[in-house]
Amino acid sequence: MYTILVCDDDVDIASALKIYLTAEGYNVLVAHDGEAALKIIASERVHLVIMDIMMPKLDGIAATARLREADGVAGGIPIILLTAKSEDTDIVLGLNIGADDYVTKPYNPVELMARVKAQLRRYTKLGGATDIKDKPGVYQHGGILLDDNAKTVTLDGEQVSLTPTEFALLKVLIREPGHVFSSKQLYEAVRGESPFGAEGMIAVHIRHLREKLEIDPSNPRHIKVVWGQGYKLE
Amino acid sequence: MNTANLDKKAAGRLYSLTAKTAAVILFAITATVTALFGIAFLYMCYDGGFYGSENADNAFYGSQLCQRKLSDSAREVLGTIQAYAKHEYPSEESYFSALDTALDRIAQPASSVAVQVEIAEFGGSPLYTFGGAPESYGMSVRDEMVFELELDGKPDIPFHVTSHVYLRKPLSDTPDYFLRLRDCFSFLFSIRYLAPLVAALGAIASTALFVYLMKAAGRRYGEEGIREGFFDRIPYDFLVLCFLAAAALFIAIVDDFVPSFGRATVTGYIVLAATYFAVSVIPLLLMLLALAYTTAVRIKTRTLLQNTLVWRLWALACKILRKIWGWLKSLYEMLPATGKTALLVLAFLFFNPLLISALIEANSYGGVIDVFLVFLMLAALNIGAFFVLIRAAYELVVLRQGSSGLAEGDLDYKFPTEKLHGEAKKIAQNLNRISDGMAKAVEMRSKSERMKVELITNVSHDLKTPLTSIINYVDLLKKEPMQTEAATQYIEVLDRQASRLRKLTSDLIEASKASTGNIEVKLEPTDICELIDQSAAEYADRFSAANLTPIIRTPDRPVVAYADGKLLWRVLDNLLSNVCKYSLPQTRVYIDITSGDSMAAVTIRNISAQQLGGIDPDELTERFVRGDSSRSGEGSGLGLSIARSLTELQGGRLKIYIDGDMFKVTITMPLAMR
Repeated sequence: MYTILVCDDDVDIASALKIYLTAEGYNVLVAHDGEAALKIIASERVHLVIMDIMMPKLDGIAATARLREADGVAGGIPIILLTAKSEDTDIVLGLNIGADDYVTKPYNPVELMARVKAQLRRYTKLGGATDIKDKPGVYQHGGILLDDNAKTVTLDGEQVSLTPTEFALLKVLIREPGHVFSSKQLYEAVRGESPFGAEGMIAVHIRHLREKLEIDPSNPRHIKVVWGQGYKLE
Repeated sequence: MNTANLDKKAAGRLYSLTAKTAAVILFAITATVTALFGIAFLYMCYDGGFYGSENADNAFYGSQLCQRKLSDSAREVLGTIQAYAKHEYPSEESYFSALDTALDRIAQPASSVAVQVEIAEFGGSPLYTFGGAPESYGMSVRDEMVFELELDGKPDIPFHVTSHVYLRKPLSDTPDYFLRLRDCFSFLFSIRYLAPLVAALGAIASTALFVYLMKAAGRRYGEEGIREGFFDRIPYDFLVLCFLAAAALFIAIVDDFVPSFGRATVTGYIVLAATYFAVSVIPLLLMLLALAYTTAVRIKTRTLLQNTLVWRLWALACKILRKIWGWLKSLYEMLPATGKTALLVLAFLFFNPLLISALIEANSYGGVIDVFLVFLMLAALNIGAFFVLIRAAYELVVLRQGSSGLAEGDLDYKFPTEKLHGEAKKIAQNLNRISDGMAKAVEMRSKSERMKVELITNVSHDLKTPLTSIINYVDLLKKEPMQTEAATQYIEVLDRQASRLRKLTSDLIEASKASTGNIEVKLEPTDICELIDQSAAEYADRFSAANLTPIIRTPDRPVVAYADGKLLWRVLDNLLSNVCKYSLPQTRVYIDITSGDSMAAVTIRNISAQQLGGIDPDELTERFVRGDSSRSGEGSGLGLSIARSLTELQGGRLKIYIDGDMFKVTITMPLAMR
């Protein structure tokens, strides 16, 4: 039984979240500002935090930063930022500070639940540690684990079944996280020859990959589209 | 009793009227005494003998006064001898007898003066003698003379005369000049030591009193500070003139009153001197004192110069001149700039030849000073004109430089209006006001820009929060079991409208951000073909769901344009979403990529499910206009407007063409030059 801390200054939103989460079987604690949230985390065993950004006393970004500064268990708790601020800069800032994921308001409750599940899986199963580093043929990034030897891919501990092309694509991307590959390059990497105008199919495969790996394929967290340039795994 | 008050009272009393009057009287007395004794002392010093002699007699007999008087007597004797010699006596004997009579009259035995005369022929023996030396005399005067005796009918006989005049010692009792003189001398001799002492004391006392009076000038009992009296208000120069007039009057009186060494006694003489003093010297002295007093007051109140007629007249003249000048100036100011310039030029043209001709005239007829003065005026006129012109030109340059600065956008530059004149000054003031106005306008504009941005962020946040709650609780409601069929329907409606509201809100925010340019645009070389591939892939499912077939045509070479990939995707997202929503099912959608000389173009063509003909394509990109305005659907009407704004933000163009039911959108972006 996991305990989730919901932190939002709007009482109605917090209540709604509590209802959703309780229905999913979680134990829910509620706070209405950053300071209260930190107090609860200090006193209770919390497994995940859903944090609003715009709050009085201590806002979500600052609270996240403080939380990440702490050592020990509290330092590694997954944090999902819930925010009306949908500017890219805010989201990037939140993620850089140490949040694990973000959802913009108004949000789709189903999507939020899925993200909560994924984060908990990652947190409990993987333990937040990458102890599978330096193993040849095994690549891990951001919850995706690709084992080239066993030809398996797991997302947050759960196995995902991919086609050979999709697997090959993911392998190229996961070997160099953050690097942008153009469709042409991906085609050549996967097929081993020049595309001659057939790069279009790469886009389709990427789309399929996203549908399998992402909670919301339109707002991917892992395989990002760099429009007009290519793709990368973030 | 309060000692401070006592002291103050004592100090105040010092300046009371009684004190001052007493001081004046004392001063008069001491000054007179000093004067008298001082004069006596000075005389005694001058006419020697007083301080070396043992007694008055010695002083008397040695004095110059004595000597002079005796000489007068001697001259009288000689004069008589000579005068008688011209009478044309028949013979020498008759002359000599006449002379006897005359000399007898002069030298009376009772008088203090004894006369001895000896007349001899020229180089010969004495012919005549008269009188003789007394037994004792204090002083004698000897004279010699040569004269001619005029005889009737006979030639003139030259004679040599020697005369002695003696002053007896002791003097005779006859009350004559010498007796009186000796009495005076006795008196003076008796006070010969007292006189200087008294004079000195008197001088000290007078000085002290004078100093006190000067210090007391303007001060009154019971008052602090200096106060002018009525007398002090009289103009100073007038006062001085009056004083001089009075002094002249008194001196005239003095002249009339000059005491002659007449027949009075010593006491009588002293009385005479006193009267003389009382009538002339003392009044003069008091007047002088009054003058000094008022001068002191005026100096203390610093009104010495200003309280003169001359000064006042001068001040008045200056005031009048200034007023006239002020009138002239205001008249001049009233003229328009052209009038002023015309006036100045005319004045210059008029005065210059005038002065030059004056110079020539002065050169011919006048002196050096005239020439110099005229030349000065001429020089001043021309230099003045030159200066005015140069100044005008300089000020024009200043204006020009400053206005260039303004034109370039330096709104903080302010013209130094104090250093400019006339029209230039007015222009500069206007320009300063303009730049102030411009600065304010810019400030207001940026302020309103900032407010707009804040509004967008705040409103978006404020809208989204309650919207989230609505969506959440509607969703929760959906999960609850409903009592009636109607309730379920109502919830459906709520759900739909909440979703619509959400889309509308995010569209609105995006549209306002896009139109005000509040989006960060990062232009980079973007592969358009890649972008289209990616977009098509995103929409692959939706195309198939809407029964549409996308056909993408690209050129052989890569097409790279300067664009912001993310923003361009949003444009395509919008356009393709429209395509999916409004296209006729079972049709094809053509997406063409072309590149020209400097531009890349993406053209999307689709057939509209609804009738399009008759709609103005430009209108479609306006906000809130949809193909069929009566239709209530998902669209908010902002899509095309957003798409156009985003395209233009990247430096591109979006154009819509409608041909029958075919809907064509063209996006042009600048090519990235290699």
